[in-house]
Amino acid sequence: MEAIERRHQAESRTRQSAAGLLTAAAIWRTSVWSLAPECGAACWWMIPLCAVPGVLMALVASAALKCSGVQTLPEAFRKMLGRRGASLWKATLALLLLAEALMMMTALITFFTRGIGTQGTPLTLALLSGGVLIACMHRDGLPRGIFLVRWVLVGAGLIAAVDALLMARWDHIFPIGGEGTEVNMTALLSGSGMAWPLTLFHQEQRRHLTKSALPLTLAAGVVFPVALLLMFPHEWLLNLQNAPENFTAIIRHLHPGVHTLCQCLWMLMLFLGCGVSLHHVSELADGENRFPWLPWLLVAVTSASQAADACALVAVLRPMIVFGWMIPAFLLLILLLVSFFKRERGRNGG
Amino acid sequence: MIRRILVLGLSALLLTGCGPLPAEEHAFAVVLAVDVQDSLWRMSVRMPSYVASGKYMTCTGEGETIQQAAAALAADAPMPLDLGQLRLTVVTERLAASPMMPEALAWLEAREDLRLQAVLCVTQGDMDVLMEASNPTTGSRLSKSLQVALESGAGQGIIPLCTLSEALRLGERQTPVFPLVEATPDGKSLHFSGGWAQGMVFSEEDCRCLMLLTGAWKKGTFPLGEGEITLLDASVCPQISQNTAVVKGSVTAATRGVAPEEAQTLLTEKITLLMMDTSAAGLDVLGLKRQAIREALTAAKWQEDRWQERLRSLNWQVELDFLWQD
Repeated sequence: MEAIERRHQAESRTRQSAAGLLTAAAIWRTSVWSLAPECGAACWWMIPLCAVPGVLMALVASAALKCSGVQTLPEAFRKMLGRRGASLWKATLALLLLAEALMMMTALITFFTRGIGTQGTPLTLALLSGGVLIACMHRDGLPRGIFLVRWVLVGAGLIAAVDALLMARWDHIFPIGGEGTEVNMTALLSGSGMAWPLTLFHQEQRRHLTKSALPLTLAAGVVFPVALLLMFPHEWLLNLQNAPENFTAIIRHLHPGVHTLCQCLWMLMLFLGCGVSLHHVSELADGENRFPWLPWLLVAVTSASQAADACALVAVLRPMIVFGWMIPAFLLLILLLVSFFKRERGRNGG
Repeated sequence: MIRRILVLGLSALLLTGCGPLPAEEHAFAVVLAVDVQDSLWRMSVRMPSYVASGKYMTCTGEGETIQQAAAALAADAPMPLDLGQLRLTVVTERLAASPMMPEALAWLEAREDLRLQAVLCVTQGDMDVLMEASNPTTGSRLSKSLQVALESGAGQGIIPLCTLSEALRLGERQTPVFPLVEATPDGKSLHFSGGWAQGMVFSEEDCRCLMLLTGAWKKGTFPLGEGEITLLDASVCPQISQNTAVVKGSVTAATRGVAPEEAQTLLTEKITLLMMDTSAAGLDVLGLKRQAIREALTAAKWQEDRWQERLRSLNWQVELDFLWQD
């Protein structure tokens, strides 16, 4: 029994690594795409601030689990809100993850075509990436692979962050208010959902949750973009477009070796982030593995989406993520309230 | 499974047309020069000729826009041009002083394969002569030879080093000072000496003062009249408060051919005069605006600040403590 429990714990750790990677990739993507061109010098405090709603969601999820006395969020929804509640939770999460996957794929393909100048059309490159993704998504291979390379990714991120900080100037934190309160409020809204994948940690068994996983993920997610953006003054950041090319424009200023390392890191993060999202979507949609072709279909849909114009795709997907995270947040809040009142009623009744 | 992955990967590669371009099929430029005259852009690159003699060749392109000039340059190159190994970017003084300079910088930044760590120089001479003079003086590789010459010049304090990346990242907070480069009289090599910033030329002596104040030069020889100061260590920090800029710090040095008191007076006067000249010309070569920005909470407040007026009317005080060693 103990061996089985240890095996489950190990599997859970691999899935936590995957959730951590997805969270970090989502924070990096939002910081560089949206927050940098809007907030400019205010990014260094806006990025951690925008991560707060995601952290709160994770805390609410944790509290709801504690109140309901079950181990995972799907179980808690089933117990407290019934089958329909659990289905609603799964459906919103799956849709949000699908949007994240499409966004990551778009970022990856834009990085290939406009960032590193790979030959080939966006669609053919998406087919290539999708092909490799299918191979990666084989059963539990993806989380295990991420678990194995997690420290490599952290190390590469740290090297890039240190290189960026060596080029950073202390005055780049000014003007602290950036473009002013109005712009910062808009940016706060567009970036507020960036850390929502932290909730995915609570899809795992609560007893298997590594305590340091959440803080480490958050640190990795926040420190890297802040370090990168401190290389630039406010006026330079404002010249960036609200577009996927920003990352390329930023990392070009790193030293050549670190630049190449950062390119590899970004590609891996986006690729694996897309894979993790799709992996979760297929698990949420078909937990009992009745449709083994579902991952293939999801990858095909994600790849085929690149036939559309990248700008149009981003314009459609961005609001889905910007506002979409609020639905699971609302559901979690309801879950917390219901489980709290049920627990209190149970105590009073007892 | 492995076989399936291999088949999938190979077919994807073949079908998508993805594939690397072999390194030997690229023309790696080492020096890039840009000029503009009467709305005609000119671009030149210096790159290895890939022949047994090991010599370098120059390719040139012209056009009414910088993009057209770049396209003509690419057409003139024997192979696909790659700027990923660039060591030196040279702009003529004509271009650097013209309102077209931001356009040139924007193009250089947007060019994805361009190495932003290449040093940005200004030349007062002819671009074609300069390109033909771009030959290795040490060893057989131009890239290494340029690196040695630039590092040596910066080590002596006679040229300020400013890469393209640094120039772009200064934003509006500091005036970049670019090293000056010319062809030697025999036209066989390059000579780096002095600096240039928005029309103002800095001598080697000025550059030493500037680099001393920015902390980029702390050790070396400073010729002073008939004697010289040998700097052993320096820690200098310019500070701004209202309409006064104060250069504070300590310098550990030794003198030869000049009395320490006289050397101190001469150096202090030289720095004061140089700073007064640069600020009167509206050049913030020390980046004092970096300190001034702390006073503004938002970008709008910062833009309201009449920095240029403030800079031009700055009073300069140089308060350096000298520790003389035998």
